[in-house]
Amino acid sequence: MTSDEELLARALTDPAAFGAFYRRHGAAVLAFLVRRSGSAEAGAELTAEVFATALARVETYRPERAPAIVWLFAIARNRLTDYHRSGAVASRARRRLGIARIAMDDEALERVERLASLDVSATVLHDALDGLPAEQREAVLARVVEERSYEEIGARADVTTTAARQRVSRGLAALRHRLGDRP
Amino acid sequence: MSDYLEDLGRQLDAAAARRVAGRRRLPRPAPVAVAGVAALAVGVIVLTSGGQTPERPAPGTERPASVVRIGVPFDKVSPPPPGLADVPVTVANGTLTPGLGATFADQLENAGWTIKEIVNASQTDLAMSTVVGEGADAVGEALGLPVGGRFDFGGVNPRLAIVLGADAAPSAHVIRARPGETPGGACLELRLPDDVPLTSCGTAPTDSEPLGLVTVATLPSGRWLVYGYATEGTEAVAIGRELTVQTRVKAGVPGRYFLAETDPMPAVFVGALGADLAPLGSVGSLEPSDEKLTSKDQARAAGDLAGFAPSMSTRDQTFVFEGAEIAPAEARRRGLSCAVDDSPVVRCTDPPPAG
Repeated sequence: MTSDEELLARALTDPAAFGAFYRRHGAAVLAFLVRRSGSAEAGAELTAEVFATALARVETYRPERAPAIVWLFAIARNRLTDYHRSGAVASRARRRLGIARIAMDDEALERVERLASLDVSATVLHDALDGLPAEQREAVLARVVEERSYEEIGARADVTTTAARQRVSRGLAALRHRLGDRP
Repeated sequence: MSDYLEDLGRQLDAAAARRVAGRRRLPRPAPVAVAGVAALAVGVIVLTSGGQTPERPAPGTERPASVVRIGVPFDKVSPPPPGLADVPVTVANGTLTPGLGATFADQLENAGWTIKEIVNASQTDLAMSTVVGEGADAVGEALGLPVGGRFDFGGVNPRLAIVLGADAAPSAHVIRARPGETPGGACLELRLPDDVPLTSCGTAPTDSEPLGLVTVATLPSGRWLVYGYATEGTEAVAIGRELTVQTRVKAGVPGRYFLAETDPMPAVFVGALGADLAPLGSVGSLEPSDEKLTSKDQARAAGDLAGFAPSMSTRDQTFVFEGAEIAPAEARRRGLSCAVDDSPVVRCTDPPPAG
C-alpha cells in the first residue's frame, strides 16, 4: 500500500493522490472532530476545513518532520482550538479552494453522529497525542503544523533551543512508536 | 440520499484537480494550448514574411485554452454601501486563472463585504466580470460592474454572485488613453501594482500594420506585461506561442487595446488576429536573434525586449545614456532605446545609425 507520505508527495501532481489520502483518514478526522466539538454539524464543517487546509498546504508538508497523520491531526487540533475559542467554524481554506459548504439534512447529521460514535481506528493518533506530556505535545504541534523554528519553540516555552529540539524529537519518537504498533 | 464524507470527497477531488491543473498551467500551459497557439503564430508569420495566403489554424485549435489576464480597476474595491455589508456574496471564477476568485474575495472581505463562498463557474472564458442574482443591481452599482447573464456553478446555486472574467486579474490596468505625438497615434497610461504609473505611446495602426503600439514592461514580480493597441478589426492578439487575449475598446484608443501578463519569453512576438482568429500581421519574432542589433526598429523586428520598452514612465526615474543622466524627452528625441521597468535607473542604448 502506498504510504500516506507518498500520497502527499504525489498530491502535487496527481489529483487522485490527495483523494486517496482523504478517503483513508476522512472518517477518523470526522469522528475526532464531532466528538471533540460536541456537534455533528460543527464537526463535519471542521472536517472540510481541515482537509482543505491540508490540501492548500500540501507542498509545505515535510515527511522528515513528522508522519503525515500527525501533521493532519495537528491541523485538526488547531482548527478545533480555534473553534472552541471563537465559537465559529473557520472556512477560509475551504472557500479559498472553492469547496462549497455541504448542506446537511437531519438524516445526514444522524449518519455523521453514528459514524462518530464508532471507534474509528486511526483516532488512536489523537489519543496518542493526548498521551504525550503537555510540553512535548505543544512542541510537536508548534514544529509540525506551525513550522516554528526550534529557537521560537524554545523561546515560547522559556527553555533552551536544545531542550525544545529534545521535546520535539522525543514527542515524535513516542508518536511513531505508538503508531508503529498499530496493525 | 447523500453522504457527507462522500460529498466532501468529491469536492476535495475537484479542488485537488484544480490545484494540480493550476500548477501545470502556470508557468507552463497544457500541451493542447501550446499546440493551438503555435498553429496560430505560424499562420501569422507566413502572412507577414511571404505575403502568401495565411494559413488558417487547424480545425479544433481555433480557440486555444490560455491564461488571459486583462486588468480592470478591481484592485480598488470599494466598501459596501449601507445595507449591503451583511448580504452574503458568492464569488465565482469564470476564468482558468487559478486563485482569481480567492484573490478578489479577499479584497472584498477586506473592504467589508461578506463572502459566502468561492466557487468556479462552468464557463471558463468569461471576458467581462458581471453580477447575477438577487440584489445584483445594487452590488453592480456599488462595484461598477455590469449586471446579468446566465451561469452554471456546478451544482451550487448562489442567490447572489459576482462572476469574475478575464478583466479581473489585478496585475495592471489602463487608466486612460490620450493623443500621441504622431497623427492618429495614442499614448496608454497604465497603473502597475503598487501604483507605479507607466506611459507608452505609439503610431496609428493601419491595415498593413495593424499593431500600433506594442510595449513590454517588466512587472515587480519579474513577469511581463504586454500591452498596446491595434486596428478596429483586430479581435484578439497572440502573444508568444502560448497566449491569446481578446482586444477591448476604450475611449481615446485608436481601434482596440490589449493587455496581458505572461511569463518572460525568449523573444517578443505579438500577432494581430481578426475575425475567426485569422492572422492580420505581427511584430517581433518567436525565436531570439543572434544578429547584432543597432536600432530600436531592428530590436523590434528581432523580438528583442529593447525594441518594446515603454516610451516613458511618469515615475521618478533617472534615464542614463553612456554613463550620464539624460532627460527622457531627449532620449526620445534621439530615438534611444530605453529599457523602462520598475527600477529607479533606466538604461538607454545607442540610437540607430543614420539611414
